[in-house]
Amino acid sequence: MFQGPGALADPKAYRAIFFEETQDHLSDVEAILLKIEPDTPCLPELNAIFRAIHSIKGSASMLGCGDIAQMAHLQENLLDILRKQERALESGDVQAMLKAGDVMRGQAEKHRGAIEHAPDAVPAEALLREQLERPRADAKDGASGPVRRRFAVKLGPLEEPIDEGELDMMIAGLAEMGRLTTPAIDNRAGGVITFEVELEGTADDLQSVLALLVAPQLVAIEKIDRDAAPARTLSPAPNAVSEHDEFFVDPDEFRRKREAVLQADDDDGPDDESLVAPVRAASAAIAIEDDLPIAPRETGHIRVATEKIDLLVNLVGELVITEAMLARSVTESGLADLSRHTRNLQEAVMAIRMLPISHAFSRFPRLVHELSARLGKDVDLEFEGESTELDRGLIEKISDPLTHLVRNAVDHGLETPGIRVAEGKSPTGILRLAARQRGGNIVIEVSDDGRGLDRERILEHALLRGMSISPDAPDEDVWDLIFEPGFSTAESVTDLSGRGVGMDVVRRNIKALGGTIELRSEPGQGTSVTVSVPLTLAIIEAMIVSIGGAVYVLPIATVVETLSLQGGDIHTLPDHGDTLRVRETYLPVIHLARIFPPANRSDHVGSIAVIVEADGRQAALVVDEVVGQQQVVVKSLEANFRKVPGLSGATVMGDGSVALILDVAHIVKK
Amino acid sequence: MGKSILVVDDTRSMRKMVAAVLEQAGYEVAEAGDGVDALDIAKGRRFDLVVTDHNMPRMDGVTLVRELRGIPDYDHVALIVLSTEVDPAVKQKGREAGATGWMAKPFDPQRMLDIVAKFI
Repeated sequence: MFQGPGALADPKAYRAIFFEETQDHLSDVEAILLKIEPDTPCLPELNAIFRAIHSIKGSASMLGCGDIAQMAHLQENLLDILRKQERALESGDVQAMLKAGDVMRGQAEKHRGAIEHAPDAVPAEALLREQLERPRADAKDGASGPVRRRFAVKLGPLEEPIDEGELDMMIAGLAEMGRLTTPAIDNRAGGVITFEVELEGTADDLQSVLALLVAPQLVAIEKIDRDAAPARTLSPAPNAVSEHDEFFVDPDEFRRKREAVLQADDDDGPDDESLVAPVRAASAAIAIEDDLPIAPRETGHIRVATEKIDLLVNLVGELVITEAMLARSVTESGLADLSRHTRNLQEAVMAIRMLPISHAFSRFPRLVHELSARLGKDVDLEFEGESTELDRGLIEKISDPLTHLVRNAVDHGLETPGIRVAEGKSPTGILRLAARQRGGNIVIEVSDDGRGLDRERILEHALLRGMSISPDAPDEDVWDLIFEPGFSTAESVTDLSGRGVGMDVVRRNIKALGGTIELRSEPGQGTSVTVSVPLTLAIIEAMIVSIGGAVYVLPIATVVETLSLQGGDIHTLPDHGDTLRVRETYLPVIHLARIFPPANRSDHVGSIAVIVEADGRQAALVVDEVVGQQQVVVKSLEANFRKVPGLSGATVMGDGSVALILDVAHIVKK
Repeated sequence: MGKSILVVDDTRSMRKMVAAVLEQAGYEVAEAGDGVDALDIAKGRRFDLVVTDHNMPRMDGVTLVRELRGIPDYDHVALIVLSTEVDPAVKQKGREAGATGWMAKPFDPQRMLDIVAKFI
């Protein structure tokens, strides 16, 4: 399509914009589709969807994404029917367009090179065509039964004669599909073949049959309305160009008229100058504005590549280190300012990486919509605190566990309307996702007003699986069982929540983020799962300890307390190794110097016990000294070196030395 | 003196493509994201030609054409609608609003330049 001097220099540059734009448009469309109610008027919404799809189609066909354009084209035809209110919106329309949106998203990903295979477009196309065929209010064909349509078909002018055998086969084939008038055949180069045919199916179907015989641009199909009402033709496939261009004014005449007017203006003399001058001044002002990129839809938002932000975060991390270095040698009042500025800058930069949790929530309306439709349940999905922000990296990581919790709630928690009504509840179940910030953590609660967990069944299951639990154990301990590997209370593994991923994986994923997960449940009242994760993984509040002269970092979130050790505090119990009595309990003692042997053993005195907790387990870590408490910028060991068991990362200290961050969960488990 | 063209489209990729084709041919190009912005910009400065999309939020292309025709400066400026919309009824509305011509998307860059050259 791009040839000659007018060709686009670099279509790739526009493709990048296009893919981004397409994803945005499709998300918008999906959100609208999930909001609109079938059988109620929603013209503004349909118009908004139409505009988005229309935009996608226009650019897609320019940028060699014909598959996307084709899908958009079918949707446009459907939207056209709905916008012109030829029939009311049905839930089938919504489903078909949701499906088409998924396919287009995949197609865009494929073009972008992000995935290897585009999704199969055929089922979505079939759904759309089915909806296109639905009887309309003004259809004279009756409300049901297959609709037969009459089309006038013109093939040509032909570039070369069509093979006689093929032509006969096509005519015979069409005659079989429906009623065919005797074709007028001029089968020579430059000749034309015309006929009328009546059949079930659309112009697009007919087009695809005929395209086997002649090039698509040589096929012209027009629908003939039996009642001689204005013929409704499908708009052309997106690759048909220029025959739709139309000029309402003859260019020569247009120019002549304009010349005449300009001439007259010139004759006005002095007036001209006074008129032109302010316009020029205005144009100078405008010229500056022209340099500003116009972002029509993105008010108040910018798009920034994640890499750029990461660089900023790293730089600020360095700045924090420099400041800490200065703090050791300079003691001027200016230092306080530097410290304040650095902290502010750090917060500001971190904020750039922060995104509202709504990014993670946005996938749930669709998910709940589909799940509840499949399970025959009525579910109201409510959000609270969607604007609570957290690190974008965390949003990605937390989406999967949350998805699992939402699936569980719809699949197992909420009952069908019949059961709910029998229980005296409203037929519509409520699923709530609430997010709020608490200290350095974001707390997300997924709660439903469903049947709640069945204590007896969980106990039964646990016994069957040989888990040790007392029948009188408190509820919390019973609920805890469902987080154990391999536990599932679903009577049959449905394809919804089953998937071989249980709550144990959810808990493991949340723990890996330094978070916690808690569950509360009341029989008949519902279940609530509370997930708490740190707002960011890049910076942690840390306790610095030393072992044999080497410095280690403990995430403060894991530290319970510190105790100074006296000789004889540590007892060696048979089968339990060293233990330390802290008030009423005995905690296992972990000698860090044994796990990370210091270069100089004689420096190791082991006079402090740091009580840490991870995964619900406490232990006493023996160190030499607590050096202090500060924020540290976490650097990945995996990215810079390799994964080391017992260590979760490293950081650069104020004096420029590297300190290792202990993986407390791993150490305590041992 | 280079001729100036205002390109109006809410789709950034499309707008940039049209602008690039025209800029490569030596025209001075300004861009607007919808009819309302376009009208603002066009009021501050007379362009020698306007290429506008039709389906846009806030103000569509046909309305923009009608509004521009209300400004004396734009009496004799070619206003070309570039749209995937090819419904004759909509095109007729464009014609009545005062559009100079209607081009179908996707557009062929060379054809776009030929048409612009005829009317600028």
